Amino acid sequence: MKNKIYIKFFLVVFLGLWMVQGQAQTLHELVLTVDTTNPSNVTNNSFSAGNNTIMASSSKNHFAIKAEVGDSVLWKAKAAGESQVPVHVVGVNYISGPRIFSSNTLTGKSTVKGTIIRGGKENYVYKLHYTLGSDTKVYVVTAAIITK
Amino acid sequence: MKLIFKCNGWAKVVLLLCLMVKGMPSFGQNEALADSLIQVYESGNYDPALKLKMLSRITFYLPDPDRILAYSDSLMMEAIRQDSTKYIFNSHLQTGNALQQKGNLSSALDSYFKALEITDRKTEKNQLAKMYTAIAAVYAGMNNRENVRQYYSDAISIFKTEQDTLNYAVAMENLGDTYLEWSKPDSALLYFNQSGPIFEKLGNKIALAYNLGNKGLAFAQQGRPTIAEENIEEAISILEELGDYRPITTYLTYMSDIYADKEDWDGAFDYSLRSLDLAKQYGLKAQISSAYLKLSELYERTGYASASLNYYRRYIAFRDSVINLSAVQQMAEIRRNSENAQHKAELDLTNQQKQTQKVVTIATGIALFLIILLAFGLYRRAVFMKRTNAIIEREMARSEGLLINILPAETAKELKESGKVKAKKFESVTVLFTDFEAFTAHSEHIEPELLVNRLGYYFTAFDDIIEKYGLEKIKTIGDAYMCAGGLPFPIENHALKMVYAAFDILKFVEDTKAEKDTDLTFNVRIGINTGPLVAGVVGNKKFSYDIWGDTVNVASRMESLSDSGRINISEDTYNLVKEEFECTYRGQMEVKNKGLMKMYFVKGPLRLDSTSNSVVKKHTRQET
Repeated sequence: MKNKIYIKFFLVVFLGLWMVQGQAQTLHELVLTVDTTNPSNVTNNSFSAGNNTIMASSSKNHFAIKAEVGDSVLWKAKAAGESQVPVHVVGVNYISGPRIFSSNTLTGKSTVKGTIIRGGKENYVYKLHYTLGSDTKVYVVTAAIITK
Repeated sequence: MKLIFKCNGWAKVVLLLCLMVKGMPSFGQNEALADSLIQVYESGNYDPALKLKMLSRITFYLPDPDRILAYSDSLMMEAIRQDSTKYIFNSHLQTGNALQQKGNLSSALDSYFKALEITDRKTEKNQLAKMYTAIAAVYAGMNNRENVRQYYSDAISIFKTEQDTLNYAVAMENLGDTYLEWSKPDSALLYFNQSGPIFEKLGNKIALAYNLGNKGLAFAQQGRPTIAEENIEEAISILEELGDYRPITTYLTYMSDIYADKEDWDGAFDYSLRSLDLAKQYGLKAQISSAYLKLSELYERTGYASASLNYYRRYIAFRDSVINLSAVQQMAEIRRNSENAQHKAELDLTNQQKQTQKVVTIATGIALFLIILLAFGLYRRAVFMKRTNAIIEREMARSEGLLINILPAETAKELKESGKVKAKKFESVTVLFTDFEAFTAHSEHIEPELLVNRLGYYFTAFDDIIEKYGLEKIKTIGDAYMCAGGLPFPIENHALKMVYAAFDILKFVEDTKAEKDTDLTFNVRIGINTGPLVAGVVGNKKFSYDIWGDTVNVASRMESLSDSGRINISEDTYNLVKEEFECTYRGQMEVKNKGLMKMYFVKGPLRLDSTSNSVVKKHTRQET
């Protein structure tokens, strides 16, 4: 039984190596830029991603990226303009779609990081929670991750 | 079963490394205390004499392997400068600990063996056992089971003997881990259940945390996930409190296994990812590698081959950076073999030396004993020889004296040298006989002893007289005394000497008679004759120098025909002494077998100035 598991595992690994040689796990660094002067108006916010991230939608209301299972996502936030108000990403909450992370809620103090453990045909829709400076009020923005 | 299978993988090795890496010292990690010490050290405001101790403490308390290595280098330089073996040892030990913590097993082993080399195996047994424990932990990382078991067994044995409770418990704990690695949870729990209460009793939290965690792993191997999780969670809780993250990563990975076994993939991924993050945060390469492998397995099991491959590649990359297993194994084998060979050689050499020393001692002892025995024998022999020689010499002298008494000196010498004496003919010898008148008659009435004593008294005096004139006593026959002059060497005036001697004998006899206190006295007759005769020694027993011939017989007749107190001489003697002595011719008298012979009584010297002294002086001159 053990041997079968081993053989299966290594077969998959080596086939995988042959098929996706050169493909590596990716860290998607997403940065939310917040208009600290009017944080309640999420339409003023914008998302950006690093060069190794494919943007599925950059729309302010439907920001989405494409990611692979095994990739990690790091959410950060900053103030728009010349504002020096620190913006803290404090959580990511599952809304719908496949549960691509190990938990429905990912938490952090200033940034949140999650690793995609599974994929799905539908988009993973989530709410990003953030705070401004020392203010405890939590603001929310919705986004999605596409894992196919 | 699955869990057990997975536990045999890399994660398990890493786990063991985590728990064994620093051996006993790891329990002393205290970053806050280390930082305080570093602050003092960097300020330079401390007693220079405490520099080594301070550096040693810093490396002891620091949890970060890179920082440990930095301060270990400083400790080593200072220890070498101060020529401190103790702190050179500490530096090697802490360097080994840090390197092992970083996953550099080959270098860690190298440092441990350097520390071991400077450990005195006789006096620093505790230190030795600690090194064995640390080395066993490295071998565990290399999956060298034989060495792991050997080193732990040696360490446990020493700690038990030395009554080092904490280290004894730690070694037991680590041996339990070894059994855990070998998928023998029952045996592992036996050791954990012994070490745990000791840690609890000692109040050693970190050791207790390891114990709980290890028990959790053992329960998991037994297929008891609930109690396993309880133990591991409790262990993680204590370790988080203590800030010891390295073992936490391992336990987290193991928790992932437990959840994966339950097909709770969220939980499994969650624990693995926590482990990875923590390992990355603290730069724990081995744990990062382990976490990557675990994630690769999880992705594979959940059907994400691409992700599994990516994580596997990362695992491979980290594994290669962590350790070159083949090189380490080779080095470990070489080390082990070298150490064993060295120990064996040392042991053999010691045994050989002992054996040789024993043989030499025994041989020396035997040789000494024989020499003493020989010397004693030689001494005894020398003493014996000396005594024997002395006795022989004394006896020889006595024998010679006796011989000389019996025989003339020259004859005695001839007898000694050749064993026999040739009979010699002498042309002119004067023979004297004395005889005591009525001796036989006296002997019938007197005690024989008294008679013999009296006879001896006379003969002794006669001997003195004879010797005085250089004459030769021949023998006594009963009461008769016979002597001769002119032998064994011919002399000119032997007849004169004999006559003078005869007068001395007469005088002695007369003087003796005049002594008032003497009852037993004799009258003596003396007869003298001169002529040729043969002298020699016959027989080989009771040697006796004797003379034969008519001259002797005639001399005897002269005596028997003499009168009491007179000297009767033959004509031949008369012719030789007539110029010196006045003699009275007695006429011709019948002598048995000879017919008529002229005889003379010697009256005395012709001249008044002629004395025996002149004859004696002449005799002395002749001898000279």
